[in-house]
Amino acid sequence: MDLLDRYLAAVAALLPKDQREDIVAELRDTLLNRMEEKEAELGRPLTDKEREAVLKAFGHPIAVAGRFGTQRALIGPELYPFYMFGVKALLVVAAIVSAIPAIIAAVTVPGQSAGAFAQFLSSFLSAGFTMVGVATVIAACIERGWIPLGGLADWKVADLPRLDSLGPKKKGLFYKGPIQRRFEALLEVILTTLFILWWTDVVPAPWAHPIANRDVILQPAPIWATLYWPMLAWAGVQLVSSLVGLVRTDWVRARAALEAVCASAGLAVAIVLWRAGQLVVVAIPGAEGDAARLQAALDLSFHLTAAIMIVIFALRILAELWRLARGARA
Amino acid sequence: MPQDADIFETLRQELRRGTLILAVLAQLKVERYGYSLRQALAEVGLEIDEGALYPMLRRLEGQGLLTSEWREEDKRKKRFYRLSSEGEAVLARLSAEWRAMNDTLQNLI
Repeated sequence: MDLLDRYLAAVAALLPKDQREDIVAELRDTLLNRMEEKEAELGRPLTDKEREAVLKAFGHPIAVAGRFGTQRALIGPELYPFYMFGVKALLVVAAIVSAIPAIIAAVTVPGQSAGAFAQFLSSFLSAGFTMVGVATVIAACIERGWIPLGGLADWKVADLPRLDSLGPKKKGLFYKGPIQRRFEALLEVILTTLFILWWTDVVPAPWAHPIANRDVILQPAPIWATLYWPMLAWAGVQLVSSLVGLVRTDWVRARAALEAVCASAGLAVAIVLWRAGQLVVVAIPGAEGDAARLQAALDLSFHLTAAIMIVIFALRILAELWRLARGARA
Repeated sequence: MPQDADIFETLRQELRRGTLILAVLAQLKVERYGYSLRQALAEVGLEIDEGALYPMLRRLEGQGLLTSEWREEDKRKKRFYRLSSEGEAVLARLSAEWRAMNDTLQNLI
């Protein structure tokens, strides 16, 4: 096999089967023409080195075969801005999701700041690379038409979120602009998703293991087992509400109605917790008296916390009902 | 940061890309094979890389603007291209567009 055959075989191996023979025949003719042109210029047959130089100048087999492919870019220029927007949003999500457990670890375990930072970095890199990888695969599938996406062409101006960053600034103590509302909704989506993953044990929760500080052992009270499904349902409704807030900032009434339902669920849970009285069970082996005193102090503080929660949720229900009534003017 | 020369080269290639298709279509009013087409373009001052020319010919043929035929010449099989009737119509429209753009730009630059 001479150099030309070897070169063409390398190109052929990378070409689509149905066009291979045709393209290779045409390339063979072109390369032979080039060589003949060179021979005419020099007035003698080419040496092997000179033949190789002609082939090298034509391009690497991968590049030559690639030019005959129908698809050139992994993600084309039309899709690229949407891809980059998605990647940036996913990296923010990865950073927040990684930061929360690290902050909890840093706060609950003294002297573990360096460990918490390492935990954050490891989690962020893992989550970030995975998310960007998945986004790239999805974008490449969209680019090739394997995932139909009419949304990029069928959008309407009226469907765009009302971002009033170009308009006059509205003022007011409780006024929140669309960007602020959307950011809050994004944060809620992340936190609620994280809570659901923790609550359902998909991801190990910070409270998964009893907190043991030398001799004191703290464990969740039985009331939490009773509240497993109600809490999960509450988080589910909250997630739907937050997603509505994230995707449609202009659906003020729908969001207010969902938030009112969430606040009512929160009020019900707070009342149950207030009536239960005990949220954690304290045990100090060999010092039952101390355990009882610590238990009483904790129960009192949780009782007060539950009472404050009841007031807050009641006020929240009123606020959401007011937003429900006012609609977009709120 | 890209250098001025790089920026110029990128812009020059962008400017040439569309006009090369027009030149190729115009040259294929007469039947030619790939290599002779490249030489014909080079003679009028339009150098085109073969790596870009052959995929372009296939694309234009796929779009129905060219027809092709394998024939033997100088004891070698060659693929000859020429404009299809659809290609002639598109060339006429593109030529008119080119002249209009040229007239407009002449007033601007």
